[in-house]
Amino acid sequence: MSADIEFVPTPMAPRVSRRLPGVEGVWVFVFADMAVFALMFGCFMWDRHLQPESFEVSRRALDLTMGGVNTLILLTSSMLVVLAIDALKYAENALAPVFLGLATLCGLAFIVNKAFEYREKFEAGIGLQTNDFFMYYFIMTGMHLGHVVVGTVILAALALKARSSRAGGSIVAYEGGATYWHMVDLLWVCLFPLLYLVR
Amino acid sequence: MDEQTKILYQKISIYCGPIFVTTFVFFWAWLGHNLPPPHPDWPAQMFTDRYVNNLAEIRLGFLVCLVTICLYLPWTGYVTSRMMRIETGHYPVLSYLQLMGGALTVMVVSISMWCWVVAAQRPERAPEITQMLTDAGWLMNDTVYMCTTLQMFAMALCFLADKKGRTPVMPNWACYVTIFCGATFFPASLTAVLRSGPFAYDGLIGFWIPYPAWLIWMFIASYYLLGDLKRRAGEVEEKVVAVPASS
Repeated sequence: MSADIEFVPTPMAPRVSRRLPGVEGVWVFVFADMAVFALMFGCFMWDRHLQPESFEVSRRALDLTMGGVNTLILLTSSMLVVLAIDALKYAENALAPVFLGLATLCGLAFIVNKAFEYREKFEAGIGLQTNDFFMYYFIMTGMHLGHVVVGTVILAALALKARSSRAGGSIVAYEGGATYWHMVDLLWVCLFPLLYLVR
Repeated sequence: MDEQTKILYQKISIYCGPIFVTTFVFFWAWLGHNLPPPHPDWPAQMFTDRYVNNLAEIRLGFLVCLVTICLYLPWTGYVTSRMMRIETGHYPVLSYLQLMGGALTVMVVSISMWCWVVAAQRPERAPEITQMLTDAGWLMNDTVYMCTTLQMFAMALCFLADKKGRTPVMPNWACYVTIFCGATFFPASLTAVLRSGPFAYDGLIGFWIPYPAWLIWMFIASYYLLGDLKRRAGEVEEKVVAVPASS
Protein backbone atom coordinates (compact mmCIF):
# COMPACT_ATOMS: atom_id res chain seq x y z
CA MET A 1 0.00 0.00 0.00
CA SER A 2 2.65 2.50 1.08
CA ALA A 3 4.74 1.74 -2.00
CA ASP A 4 1.78 2.61 -4.22
CA ILE A 5 1.22 5.88 -2.47
CA GLU A 6 4.84 6.88 -2.81
CA PHE A 7 4.92 6.20 -6.50
CA VAL A 8 1.57 7.76 -7.38
CA PRO A 9 1.02 10.73 -5.09
CA THR A 10 -1.99 12.08 -7.02
CA PRO A 11 -3.76 9.17 -8.65
CA MET A 12 -6.66 11.28 -9.95
CA ALA A 13 -4.42 13.90 -11.55
CA PRO A 14 -3.41 12.17 -14.78
CA ARG A 15 -6.99 11.25 -15.77
CA VAL A 16 -9.06 14.18 -14.49
CA SER A 17 -7.26 17.48 -14.21
CA ARG A 18 -9.61 19.16 -11.70
CA ARG A 19 -12.79 17.76 -10.22
CA LEU A 20 -15.08 19.02 -7.48
CA PRO A 21 -15.25 16.39 -4.71
CA GLY A 22 -18.82 15.21 -4.12
CA VAL A 23 -21.69 16.86 -5.98
CA GLU A 24 -22.01 20.58 -6.65
CA GLY A 25 -25.08 20.84 -4.40
CA VAL A 26 -23.11 19.92 -1.29
CA TRP A 27 -20.80 22.86 -1.95
CA VAL A 28 -23.74 25.24 -2.47
CA PHE A 29 -25.20 23.99 0.83
CA VAL A 30 -21.86 24.40 2.62
CA PHE A 31 -21.46 27.92 1.28
CA ALA A 32 -24.99 28.97 2.31
CA ASP A 33 -24.65 27.37 5.73
CA MET A 34 -21.33 29.06 6.41
CA ALA A 35 -22.77 32.38 5.25
CA VAL A 36 -25.45 32.11 7.97
CA PHE A 37 -22.77 31.36 10.57
CA ALA A 38 -20.69 34.26 9.26
CA LEU A 39 -23.69 36.56 9.80
CA MET A 40 -24.01 35.27 13.37
CA PHE A 41 -20.30 35.84 13.95
CA GLY A 42 -20.83 39.40 12.68
CA CYS A 43 -23.76 39.93 15.10
CA PHE A 44 -21.62 38.55 17.92
CA MET A 45 -18.71 40.88 17.13
CA TRP A 46 -21.08 43.85 16.90
CA ASP A 47 -22.64 43.19 20.31
CA ARG A 48 -19.21 42.45 21.75
CA HIS A 49 -18.09 45.85 20.48
CA LEU A 50 -21.06 47.45 22.30
CA GLN A 51 -20.50 45.66 25.64
CA PRO A 52 -16.80 44.72 25.80
CA GLU A 53 -16.62 44.35 29.59
CA SER A 54 -19.58 42.02 30.01
CA PHE A 55 -18.36 39.86 27.11
CA GLU A 56 -14.82 39.62 28.50
CA VAL A 57 -15.96 38.72 32.02
CA SER A 58 -18.34 36.08 30.64
CA ARG A 59 -15.69 34.67 28.32
CA ARG A 60 -13.46 33.93 31.30
CA ALA A 61 -16.23 31.74 32.75
CA LEU A 62 -15.87 29.33 29.80
CA ASP A 63 -13.94 26.10 30.24
CA LEU A 64 -10.92 26.45 27.96
CA THR A 65 -9.81 22.85 28.53
CA MET A 66 -13.13 21.38 27.41
CA GLY A 67 -13.21 23.66 24.36
CA GLY A 68 -9.62 22.76 23.54
CA VAL A 69 -10.27 19.03 23.87
CA ASN A 70 -13.27 19.35 21.57
CA THR A 71 -11.11 21.18 19.02
CA LEU A 72 -8.59 18.32 19.08
CA ILE A 73 -11.39 15.76 18.78
CA LEU A 74 -12.81 17.44 15.69
CA LEU A 75 -9.42 17.95 14.04
CA THR A 76 -8.63 14.26 14.62
CA SER A 77 -11.99 13.24 13.17
CA SER A 78 -11.35 15.33 10.06
CA MET A 79 -7.97 13.62 9.59
CA LEU A 80 -9.67 10.21 9.95
CA VAL A 81 -12.21 11.20 7.29
CA VAL A 82 -9.37 12.21 4.94
CA LEU A 83 -7.70 8.84 5.58
CA ALA A 84 -11.00 7.04 4.87
CA ILE A 85 -11.42 8.82 1.51
CA ASP A 86 -7.80 8.03 0.65
CA ALA A 87 -8.33 4.39 1.56
CA LEU A 88 -11.31 4.26 -0.81
CA LYS A 89 -9.34 5.96 -3.59
CA TYR A 90 -6.44 3.54 -3.27
CA ALA A 91 -8.88 0.62 -3.18
CA GLU A 92 -7.94 -0.21 0.42
CA ASN A 93 -11.62 -0.82 1.11
CA ALA A 94 -11.05 -2.73 4.35
CA LEU A 95 -9.54 0.34 6.02
CA ALA A 96 -12.28 2.83 5.09
CA PRO A 97 -14.97 1.55 7.51
CA VAL A 98 -12.38 1.53 10.34
CA PHE A 99 -11.44 5.17 9.77
CA LEU A 100 -15.07 6.22 9.32
CA GLY A 101 -16.06 4.28 12.46
CA LEU A 102 -13.34 6.05 14.48
CA ALA A 103 -14.47 9.41 13.08
CA THR A 104 -18.04 8.59 14.19
CA LEU A 105 -16.71 7.89 17.69
CA CYS A 106 -15.00 11.30 17.64
CA GLY A 107 -18.35 12.87 16.77
CA LEU A 108 -19.99 11.07 19.70
CA ALA A 109 -17.16 12.13 22.02
CA PHE A 110 -17.70 15.75 20.98
CA ILE A 111 -21.42 15.50 21.75
CA VAL A 112 -20.80 13.93 25.19
CA ASN A 113 -18.14 16.51 26.02
CA LYS A 114 -20.48 19.34 25.01
CA ALA A 115 -23.27 17.89 27.15
CA PHE A 116 -20.94 17.95 30.17
CA GLU A 117 -19.91 21.50 29.38
CA TYR A 118 -23.55 22.64 29.13
CA ARG A 119 -24.42 20.85 32.39
CA GLU A 120 -21.56 22.61 34.14
CA LYS A 121 -22.93 25.96 32.96
CA PHE A 122 -26.51 25.15 33.97
CA GLU A 123 -25.36 24.00 37.41
CA ALA A 124 -23.52 27.29 37.84
CA GLY A 125 -26.83 29.04 37.14
CA ILE A 126 -25.78 30.23 33.68
CA GLY A 127 -28.37 29.96 30.92
CA LEU A 128 -29.49 31.33 27.57
CA GLN A 129 -30.79 34.55 29.09
CA THR A 130 -27.97 35.28 31.56
CA ASN A 131 -26.52 37.94 29.26
CA ASP A 132 -25.84 38.56 25.55
CA PHE A 133 -22.53 36.70 25.60
CA PHE A 134 -24.14 33.50 26.90
CA MET A 135 -27.05 33.92 24.51
CA TYR A 136 -24.56 33.78 21.63
CA TYR A 137 -22.55 31.06 23.37
CA PHE A 138 -25.51 28.71 23.78
CA ILE A 139 -27.10 29.45 20.40
CA MET A 140 -23.93 29.31 18.28
CA THR A 141 -22.49 26.24 19.98
CA GLY A 142 -25.99 24.72 20.03
CA MET A 143 -26.48 25.22 16.31
CA HIS A 144 -23.00 23.84 15.74
CA LEU A 145 -23.87 20.86 17.94
CA GLY A 146 -26.93 20.25 15.74
CA HIS A 147 -24.56 20.11 12.76
CA VAL A 148 -22.31 17.67 14.67
CA VAL A 149 -25.28 15.39 15.40
CA VAL A 150 -26.30 15.35 11.72
CA GLY A 151 -22.66 14.84 10.68
CA THR A 152 -22.17 11.96 13.11
CA VAL A 153 -25.24 10.22 11.70
CA ILE A 154 -23.85 10.75 8.16
CA LEU A 155 -20.43 9.37 9.18
CA ALA A 156 -22.05 6.31 10.80
CA ALA A 157 -24.14 5.72 7.67
CA LEU A 158 -21.03 6.02 5.48
CA ALA A 159 -19.11 3.62 7.78
CA LEU A 160 -21.90 1.07 7.36
CA LYS A 161 -21.98 1.68 3.59
CA ALA A 162 -18.20 1.19 3.40
CA ARG A 163 -18.56 -2.15 5.21
CA SER A 164 -21.34 -3.41 2.99
CA SER A 165 -20.97 -5.14 -0.36
CA ARG A 166 -21.98 -1.89 -2.05
CA ALA A 167 -18.82 -0.18 -0.80
CA GLY A 168 -17.25 -0.06 -4.24
CA GLY A 169 -18.46 2.06 -7.11
CA SER A 170 -18.94 5.78 -6.75
CA ILE A 171 -16.94 7.74 -4.22
CA VAL A 172 -19.26 10.75 -4.57
CA ALA A 173 -21.41 9.98 -1.50
CA TYR A 174 -18.31 9.64 0.70
CA GLU A 175 -16.88 12.88 -0.62
CA GLY A 176 -20.15 14.70 0.03
CA GLY A 177 -20.24 13.47 3.62
CA ALA A 178 -16.56 14.31 4.10
CA THR A 179 -17.10 17.84 2.76
CA TYR A 180 -19.95 18.38 5.20
CA TRP A 181 -17.88 17.05 8.11
CA HIS A 182 -14.94 19.31 7.24
CA MET A 183 -17.34 22.25 7.28
CA VAL A 184 -18.51 21.23 10.77
CA ASP A 185 -14.86 21.10 11.80
CA LEU A 186 -14.05 24.45 10.18
CA LEU A 187 -17.03 26.15 11.86
CA TRP A 188 -15.78 24.96 15.25
CA VAL A 189 -12.28 26.16 14.44
CA CYS A 190 -13.85 29.62 13.92
CA LEU A 191 -16.21 29.37 16.92
CA PHE A 192 -13.62 28.22 19.42
CA PRO A 193 -11.31 31.26 19.21
CA LEU A 194 -14.26 33.63 18.79
CA LEU A 195 -15.96 32.53 22.01
CA TYR A 196 -13.16 31.09 24.16
CA LEU A 197 -9.99 32.91 23.16
CA VAL A 198 -10.49 36.43 21.77
CA ARG A 199 -9.80 38.92 24.55
CA MET B 1 -59.79 15.90 -20.57
CA ASP B 2 -57.48 16.31 -23.54
CA GLU B 3 -53.72 16.60 -23.19
CA GLN B 4 -53.55 20.31 -23.85
CA THR B 5 -56.15 21.14 -21.21
CA LYS B 6 -54.25 19.00 -18.72
CA ILE B 7 -51.02 20.83 -19.51
CA LEU B 8 -52.83 24.16 -19.12
CA TYR B 9 -54.06 23.28 -15.61
CA GLN B 10 -50.60 22.05 -14.67
CA LYS B 11 -49.07 25.29 -15.88
CA ILE B 12 -51.61 27.35 -13.92
CA SER B 13 -50.84 25.29 -10.82
CA ILE B 14 -47.13 26.03 -11.09
CA TYR B 15 -47.73 29.76 -11.71
CA CYS B 16 -49.82 29.84 -8.52
CA GLY B 17 -46.51 29.53 -6.62
CA PRO B 18 -44.78 32.72 -7.79
CA ILE B 19 -48.12 34.58 -7.81
CA PHE B 20 -48.57 33.61 -4.16
CA VAL B 21 -45.07 34.85 -3.35
CA THR B 22 -45.71 38.18 -5.08
CA THR B 23 -49.02 38.74 -3.30
CA PHE B 24 -47.42 37.68 -0.02
CA VAL B 25 -44.70 40.31 -0.35
CA PHE B 26 -47.21 43.01 -1.34
CA PHE B 27 -50.13 42.30 1.01
CA TRP B 28 -48.49 40.48 3.93
CA ALA B 29 -45.17 42.28 4.14
CA TRP B 30 -45.87 45.74 2.72
CA LEU B 31 -49.58 46.52 3.32
CA GLY B 32 -49.58 44.45 6.51
CA HIS B 33 -46.74 46.61 7.90
CA ASN B 34 -44.54 43.57 8.52
CA LEU B 35 -41.53 45.14 6.82
CA PRO B 36 -39.82 45.58 9.22
CA PRO B 37 -41.80 43.45 11.67
CA PRO B 38 -42.96 44.95 15.00
CA HIS B 39 -40.36 44.76 17.74
CA PRO B 40 -41.29 42.11 20.32
CA ASP B 41 -39.92 44.20 23.18
CA TRP B 42 -42.18 47.20 22.50
CA PRO B 43 -44.52 48.32 25.28
CA ALA B 44 -48.07 47.04 24.70
CA GLN B 45 -49.43 50.46 23.69
CA MET B 46 -47.14 50.56 20.65
CA PHE B 47 -48.74 47.40 19.29
CA THR B 48 -52.16 49.05 19.55
CA ASP B 49 -50.81 52.22 17.91
CA ARG B 50 -49.45 50.14 15.06
CA TYR B 51 -52.93 48.80 14.31
CA VAL B 52 -54.83 52.06 14.94
CA ASN B 53 -52.52 54.16 12.75
CA ASN B 54 -52.56 51.72 9.81
CA LEU B 55 -55.92 50.05 10.34
CA ALA B 56 -57.28 49.96 6.77
CA GLU B 57 -53.98 48.82 5.27
CA ILE B 58 -53.42 46.07 7.83
CA ARG B 59 -57.00 44.79 7.47
CA LEU B 60 -56.84 44.79 3.68
CA GLY B 61 -53.35 43.29 3.60
CA PHE B 62 -54.09 40.28 5.75
CA LEU B 63 -57.63 39.67 4.46
CA VAL B 64 -56.39 39.54 0.86
CA CYS B 65 -53.39 37.43 1.82
CA LEU B 66 -55.64 34.98 3.66
CA VAL B 67 -57.22 34.36 0.24
CA THR B 68 -54.05 34.28 -1.84
CA ILE B 69 -52.21 31.97 0.59
CA CYS B 70 -54.45 29.24 -0.84
CA LEU B 71 -52.57 29.53 -4.15
CA TYR B 72 -49.99 27.43 -2.29
CA LEU B 73 -52.43 24.50 -2.59
CA PRO B 74 -52.52 24.02 -6.39
CA TRP B 75 -48.74 24.45 -6.44
CA THR B 76 -48.36 21.73 -3.80
CA GLY B 77 -50.80 19.57 -5.75
CA TYR B 78 -48.73 19.82 -8.90
CA VAL B 79 -45.47 19.10 -7.05
CA THR B 80 -47.09 16.02 -5.47
CA SER B 81 -48.19 14.58 -8.79
CA ARG B 82 -44.82 15.38 -10.37
CA MET B 83 -43.03 13.62 -7.51
CA MET B 84 -45.29 10.59 -7.91
CA ARG B 85 -44.05 10.20 -11.50
CA ILE B 86 -40.54 9.80 -10.06
CA GLU B 87 -41.49 7.88 -6.92
CA THR B 88 -43.53 5.30 -8.84
CA GLY B 89 -45.31 2.36 -7.24
CA HIS B 90 -47.78 1.95 -4.43
CA TYR B 91 -45.75 3.63 -1.69
CA PRO B 92 -44.98 7.22 -2.69
CA VAL B 93 -44.13 8.26 0.87
CA LEU B 94 -42.11 11.36 -0.03
CA SER B 95 -44.88 12.61 -2.31
CA TYR B 96 -47.49 12.19 0.44
CA LEU B 97 -45.20 13.86 2.98
CA GLN B 98 -44.76 16.80 0.65
CA LEU B 99 -48.53 16.98 0.10
CA MET B 100 -49.32 17.00 3.82
CA GLY B 101 -46.53 19.49 4.52
CA GLY B 102 -47.75 21.88 1.83
CA ALA B 103 -51.38 21.65 2.92
CA LEU B 104 -50.53 22.22 6.58
CA THR B 105 -48.24 25.13 5.71
CA VAL B 106 -51.30 26.94 4.39
CA MET B 107 -53.05 26.39 7.72
CA VAL B 108 -50.06 27.54 9.79
CA VAL B 109 -49.59 30.75 7.83
CA SER B 110 -53.37 31.31 7.74
CA ILE B 111 -53.76 30.91 11.52
CA SER B 112 -50.92 33.36 12.01
CA MET B 113 -52.66 35.98 9.85
CA TRP B 114 -56.01 35.16 11.46
CA CYS B 115 -54.51 36.25 14.82
CA TRP B 116 -53.63 39.61 13.29
CA VAL B 117 -57.04 39.97 11.63
CA VAL B 118 -58.63 39.40 15.06
CA ALA B 119 -56.28 42.01 16.54
CA ALA B 120 -57.30 44.52 13.85
CA GLN B 121 -61.02 43.81 14.24
CA ARG B 122 -61.29 45.61 17.61
CA PRO B 123 -58.08 47.65 18.05
CA GLU B 124 -59.63 49.75 20.88
CA ARG B 125 -59.43 46.79 23.28
CA ALA B 126 -56.83 46.56 26.08
CA PRO B 127 -53.34 46.95 24.51
CA GLU B 128 -52.03 43.82 26.28
CA ILE B 129 -54.52 41.70 24.33
CA THR B 130 -53.49 43.23 21.00
CA GLN B 131 -49.88 42.62 21.96
CA MET B 132 -50.66 39.01 22.75
CA LEU B 133 -52.49 38.46 19.46
CA THR B 134 -49.55 39.94 17.55
CA ASP B 135 -47.09 37.72 19.43
CA ALA B 136 -49.32 34.68 18.90
CA GLY B 137 -49.40 35.29 15.14
CA TRP B 138 -45.63 35.56 14.90
CA LEU B 139 -44.96 32.56 17.07
CA MET B 140 -47.41 30.49 15.03
CA ASN B 141 -45.24 31.08 11.97
CA ASP B 142 -41.90 30.93 13.76
CA THR B 143 -42.35 27.84 15.89
CA VAL B 144 -44.75 25.70 13.81
CA TYR B 145 -42.53 25.53 10.73
CA MET B 146 -41.73 21.82 10.71
CA CYS B 147 -44.54 20.92 8.26
CA THR B 148 -42.98 23.28 5.72
CA THR B 149 -39.47 22.02 6.46
CA LEU B 150 -40.59 18.42 5.88
CA GLN B 151 -42.37 19.44 2.68
CA MET B 152 -39.13 20.94 1.38
CA PHE B 153 -36.93 18.04 2.53
CA ALA B 154 -39.26 15.48 0.91
CA MET B 155 -39.31 17.40 -2.37
CA ALA B 156 -35.53 17.77 -2.43
CA LEU B 157 -34.88 14.10 -1.61
CA CYS B 158 -37.27 12.96 -4.33
CA PHE B 159 -35.87 15.26 -7.03
CA LEU B 160 -32.29 14.34 -6.01
CA ALA B 161 -33.12 10.71 -6.76
CA ASP B 162 -34.72 11.56 -10.14
CA LYS B 163 -33.12 9.17 -12.59
CA LYS B 164 -36.13 8.89 -14.94
CA GLY B 165 -35.57 11.62 -17.49
CA ARG B 166 -32.48 12.75 -19.33
CA THR B 167 -32.78 16.06 -17.49
CA PRO B 168 -33.79 15.98 -13.80
CA VAL B 169 -36.74 18.14 -12.68
CA MET B 170 -34.42 20.32 -10.58
CA PRO B 171 -30.63 20.47 -10.85
CA ASN B 172 -28.57 19.08 -8.00
CA TRP B 173 -27.72 22.50 -6.53
CA ALA B 174 -31.37 23.60 -6.43
CA CYS B 175 -32.25 20.47 -4.41
CA TYR B 176 -29.57 21.29 -1.86
CA VAL B 177 -30.72 24.92 -1.73
CA THR B 178 -34.20 23.55 -0.93
CA ILE B 179 -32.75 21.56 2.00
CA PHE B 180 -30.82 24.60 3.19
CA CYS B 181 -33.85 26.91 2.99
CA GLY B 182 -35.92 24.38 4.94
CA ALA B 183 -33.19 24.18 7.59
CA THR B 184 -33.04 27.99 8.04
CA PHE B 185 -36.39 27.73 9.89
CA PHE B 186 -34.90 25.83 12.85
CA PRO B 187 -33.32 28.85 14.63
CA ALA B 188 -36.71 30.62 14.41
CA SER B 189 -37.81 28.49 17.39
CA LEU B 190 -35.67 30.84 19.50
CA THR B 191 -38.21 33.64 18.85
CA ALA B 192 -40.32 31.99 21.57
CA VAL B 193 -37.65 32.75 24.18
CA LEU B 194 -35.68 35.82 23.02
CA ARG B 195 -37.40 39.16 22.57
CA SER B 196 -34.52 41.26 21.26
CA GLY B 197 -31.40 40.81 19.15
CA PRO B 198 -30.87 38.71 16.02
CA PHE B 199 -32.90 35.74 17.27
CA ALA B 200 -36.11 37.66 18.08
CA TYR B 201 -39.05 37.56 15.65
CA ASP B 202 -37.90 40.80 14.03
CA GLY B 203 -34.21 39.79 14.02
CA LEU B 204 -31.71 38.79 11.37
CA ILE B 205 -31.84 35.06 12.13
CA GLY B 206 -35.47 35.08 13.31
CA PHE B 207 -36.95 36.95 10.34
CA TRP B 208 -34.59 38.27 7.66
CA ILE B 209 -33.11 34.87 6.74
CA PRO B 210 -35.94 32.29 7.05
CA TYR B 211 -38.78 34.31 5.45
CA PRO B 212 -36.82 35.35 2.32
CA ALA B 213 -35.34 31.82 2.14
CA TRP B 214 -38.87 30.37 1.95
CA LEU B 215 -39.98 32.79 -0.77
CA ILE B 216 -36.78 32.54 -2.82
CA TRP B 217 -36.98 28.73 -2.69
CA MET B 218 -40.48 28.91 -4.12
CA PHE B 219 -39.28 31.05 -7.04
CA ILE B 220 -36.35 28.72 -7.78
CA ALA B 221 -38.53 25.60 -7.57
CA SER B 222 -41.26 27.15 -9.76
CA TYR B 223 -38.67 28.16 -12.37
CA TYR B 224 -37.40 24.60 -12.74
CA LEU B 225 -40.88 23.07 -12.52
CA LEU B 226 -41.95 25.28 -15.44
CA GLY B 227 -38.90 24.27 -17.46
CA ASP B 228 -39.66 20.63 -16.74
CA LEU B 229 -43.31 21.09 -17.77
CA LYS B 230 -42.22 22.71 -21.03
CA ARG B 231 -40.03 19.70 -21.81
CA ARG B 232 -42.85 17.30 -21.00
CA ALA B 233 -45.36 19.31 -23.03
CA GLY B 234 -42.95 19.13 -25.97
CA GLU B 235 -42.78 15.35 -25.61
CA VAL B 236 -46.61 15.15 -25.53
CA GLU B 237 -46.83 17.20 -28.73
CA GLU B 238 -44.29 14.94 -30.41
CA LYS B 239 -46.42 11.95 -29.46
CA VAL B 240 -49.64 13.57 -30.71
CA VAL B 241 -47.97 14.36 -34.02
CA ALA B 242 -46.32 10.94 -34.20
CA VAL B 243 -49.51 8.90 -33.69
CA PRO B 244 -51.40 9.99 -36.86
CA ALA B 245 -48.21 9.75 -38.88
CA SER B 246 -47.60 6.12 -37.89
CA SER B 247 -51.24 5.01 -38.39
